[in-house]
Amino acid sequence: MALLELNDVRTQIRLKRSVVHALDGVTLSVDEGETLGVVGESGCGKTMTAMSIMQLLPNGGSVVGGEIVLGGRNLLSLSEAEMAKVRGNEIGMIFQDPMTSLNPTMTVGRQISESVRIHRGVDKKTAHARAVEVLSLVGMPSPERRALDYPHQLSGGMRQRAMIAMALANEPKLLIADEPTTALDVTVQKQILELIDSLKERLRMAVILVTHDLGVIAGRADKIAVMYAGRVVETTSTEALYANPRHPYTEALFDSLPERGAESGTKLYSIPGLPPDLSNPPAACRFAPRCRYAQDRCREADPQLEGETSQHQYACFFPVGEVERSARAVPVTLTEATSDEEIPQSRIGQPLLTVSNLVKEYPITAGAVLRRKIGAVSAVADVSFTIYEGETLGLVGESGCGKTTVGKLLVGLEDATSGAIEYEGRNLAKEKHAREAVRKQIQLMFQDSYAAMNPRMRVRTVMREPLDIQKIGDKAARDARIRELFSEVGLPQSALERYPHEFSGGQRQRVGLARALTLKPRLIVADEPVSALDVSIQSQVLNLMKELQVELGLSYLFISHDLSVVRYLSDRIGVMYLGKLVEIGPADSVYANPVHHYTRGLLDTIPVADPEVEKAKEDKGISGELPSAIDPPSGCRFRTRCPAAQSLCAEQEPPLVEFGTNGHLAACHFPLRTADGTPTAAAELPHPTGATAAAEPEDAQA
Amino acid sequence: MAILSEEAASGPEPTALELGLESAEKPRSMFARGWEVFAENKLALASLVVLVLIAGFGYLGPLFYHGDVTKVNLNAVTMGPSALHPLGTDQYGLDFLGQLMRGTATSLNVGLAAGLIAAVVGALYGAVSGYLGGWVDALLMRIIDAFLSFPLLFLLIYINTVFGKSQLTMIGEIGLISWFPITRLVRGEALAIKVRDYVAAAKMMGGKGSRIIYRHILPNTIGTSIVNTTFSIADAVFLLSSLSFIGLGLQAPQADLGGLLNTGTQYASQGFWWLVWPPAVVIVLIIMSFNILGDALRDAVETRLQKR
Repeated sequence: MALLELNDVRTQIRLKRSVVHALDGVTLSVDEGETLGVVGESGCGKTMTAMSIMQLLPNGGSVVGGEIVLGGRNLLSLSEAEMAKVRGNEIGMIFQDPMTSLNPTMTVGRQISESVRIHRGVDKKTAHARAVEVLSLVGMPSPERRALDYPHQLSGGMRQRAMIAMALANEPKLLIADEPTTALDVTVQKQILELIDSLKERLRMAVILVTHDLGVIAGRADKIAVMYAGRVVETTSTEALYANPRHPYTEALFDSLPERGAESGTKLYSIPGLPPDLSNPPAACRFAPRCRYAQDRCREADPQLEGETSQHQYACFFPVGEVERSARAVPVTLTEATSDEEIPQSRIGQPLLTVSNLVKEYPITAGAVLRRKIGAVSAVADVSFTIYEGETLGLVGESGCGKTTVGKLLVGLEDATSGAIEYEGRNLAKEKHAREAVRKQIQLMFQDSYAAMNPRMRVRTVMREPLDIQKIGDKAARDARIRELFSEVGLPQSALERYPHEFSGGQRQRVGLARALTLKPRLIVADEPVSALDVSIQSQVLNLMKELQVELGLSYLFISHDLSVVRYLSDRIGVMYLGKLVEIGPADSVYANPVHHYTRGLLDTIPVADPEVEKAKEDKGISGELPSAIDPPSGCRFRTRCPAAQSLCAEQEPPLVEFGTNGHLAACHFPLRTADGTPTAAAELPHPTGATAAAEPEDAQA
Repeated sequence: MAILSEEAASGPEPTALELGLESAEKPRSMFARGWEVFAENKLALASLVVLVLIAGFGYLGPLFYHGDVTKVNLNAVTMGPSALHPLGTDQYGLDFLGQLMRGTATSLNVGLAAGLIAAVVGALYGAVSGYLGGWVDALLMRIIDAFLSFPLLFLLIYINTVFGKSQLTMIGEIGLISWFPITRLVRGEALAIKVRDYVAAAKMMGGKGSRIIYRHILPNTIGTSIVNTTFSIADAVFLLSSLSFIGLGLQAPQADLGGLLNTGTQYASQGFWWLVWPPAVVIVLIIMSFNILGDALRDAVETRLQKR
């Protein structure tokens, strides 16, 4: 018998005017020692499922039907007091953001021992000892000392370890991890996921891993439930799902992944429309309005979750692969994946903007009045690169590596400490004059376009603002321009009268792009433009950016931590580490033949939506966490985490030198390959495993 | 450089429906949408009705009711309510209902004017101070500290002596001492707003400081400002009443609600309830109603709560 079983669970949230059917008949089961992955777009009920199990629903929420059976007991029949004994004792939970889930006024050790004392009724000392014990179990370095630290004294990765320790303190039978790594860097993400994996083995727990990232669950989950609009639409083993998805929704999710497009050079598939409004769900198949294979029957009847075997079930009348595709209904989408002809090399022209020896330091001051300078955060340290007309330069790296600062320097939101940004023969870093003059030509596309729009302005006003400020044209001309831009990015004119909060994430990012285009820029700095979006929506924005680039001859500086997204869009990729550009070169070359150890580590760390690839790359990737930028390591800044580091790396900073003739540069004393592509001895070095690495991470940044 | 004039290459324009946007009918005005949110709050609607009635009582009442409020009649002092004087008479034999009307109007005049002055000055001062930051902010805030460290009562007595105890003086002096709380709140919000991405976006387009303060910072502090404007109106009514109560308020024959109450309490021990309760109740109603109104208005101007 399964450890946890959900049978036809229905959860409702009562709002002022309506009732949202957040879960509408969810059936799941998890066995002991098994990981169940739950995926889907945001708003599909993933978190609601977790919260229903914990019975921690938001105000007005209640489970109105079905049963949730944990170890033979129906949790729904328990009283609140009995349920409190189950939470934290039999079921542990990890949340997305460890900073907001930890109490900032209590030491980590006390927070963990609190739950031990509540559930085990032991004294303070025993509970504290247990806290230290679980902290060491989750790979926290020097657990005795860390137990006395407050949450802000820990780094993001260590905080998440502390959260896991808290969840595990009472050895629960079930661990629910709700997007446990979404707020973390890829390198840390891998360490945390590996930790959850190994703990599952050791403690024989069942794990429910809730995530939107198909790559994250590929290597971690034993079986997967794909959720859509408050229901499970497909469930099967991980291998079967990735090899042979049957529900069109699952297939569409896979097709939207940028790595698929990067490999084949095709346009990405994107799911049109949005998930249905759950306060009034359609009686037919809920995915039908967005489905490329939908037929009349789909719009009339509601398919049940069933399948030829109990192992692979799906809710679809016309599952993928059953009928030949040509025999199916004509696809109804606008953006059917069509093969894009190879982009002609001539698209890329003359150098547009040249950055040389760019340095940005933020002073650290002490004292309220005199503000003595007592140190500096080295955000960007001696970075040089060129952006050509019509190309996309991707900039990748962990957070805190200076990518965003480079972007801000280019658009003039920050002043450079030294170095030059040359544009049309003028140095923007030096001449404030020049910066004002070219302001229009270099625009920024924000990561969170909602935060970048005044919530009190209608989108029409938001769009018109750049024109108003630059005093371009009269009112009619400005209006015409806005309408033109809106159709350019594929938004209806009627949307102009809306407020920013009335748009979905993808639509807002379209507005953001349209606004960036208003002043006819030549270079757009795009700072993580799709990282907040669902994969299905992300592909729409990426496709749009690519189209507009060809059409308008734009150049992009595309900043992202997501290598697969960068690869899809970029002609060249630059890799940054702790303020330094460590490698730059043509996208394919950087991908296929990385030179720097950091680049290879990043590539190994990125979760790929393929279970075989994922399971094969155990023990690879980068260990430890980013050192502090206040006092960066001497010589090569990556040496503290590099498997090939030797004493030379600490003494001398490696220069950026050429590897090959295609403009592939890297800064490493012991590169992974020679200029002609032969692997060097350094390439054979083993990767440190996550466990040893966690023993000596740098202290959290101040 | 008509680079955008060609047709969009992205194929047919997606309709609103495909993008999941409900078709928007003609956009409704900010006012209509705000009213809808406001009207949901029944308590606020009741407060609005109360305030309208009180304003009507104060401003329109004297047009219909002609109680003698100027001629001393020593034959009819402190008479209880009767058909001739529905709220009785005071110690000079003046009709109390008529006095209450005049007092209400005076209180509202001073309260509204002083409250609005405080709100406008405070919001502007706070927004500028917060946005500019640095030494300008430090200087502007020290000026407020200097004001606050002054014994206010002393200041009021001084102003009264120099400028006399007219309504205008009262408006000025109450306005002068009540803009600090709004300033501080708005400054705090401005500090938070100026680091938002939309301010960065405006700067990147070349927007100047004045534009950013006027278009971005002030509109986004409107919730705070509105709530506190209603509070400061209520406070001004209260302050004027207090001043009158301790004899620093308006000079007779002018009287506000506080002055009337002051007179009434002198006779409270003799059981002249009609001189105490009516002004007290009106003061409480005005202050409470403005406070409730403030909360509802904050919701009403919040675009995120509005429907299409």
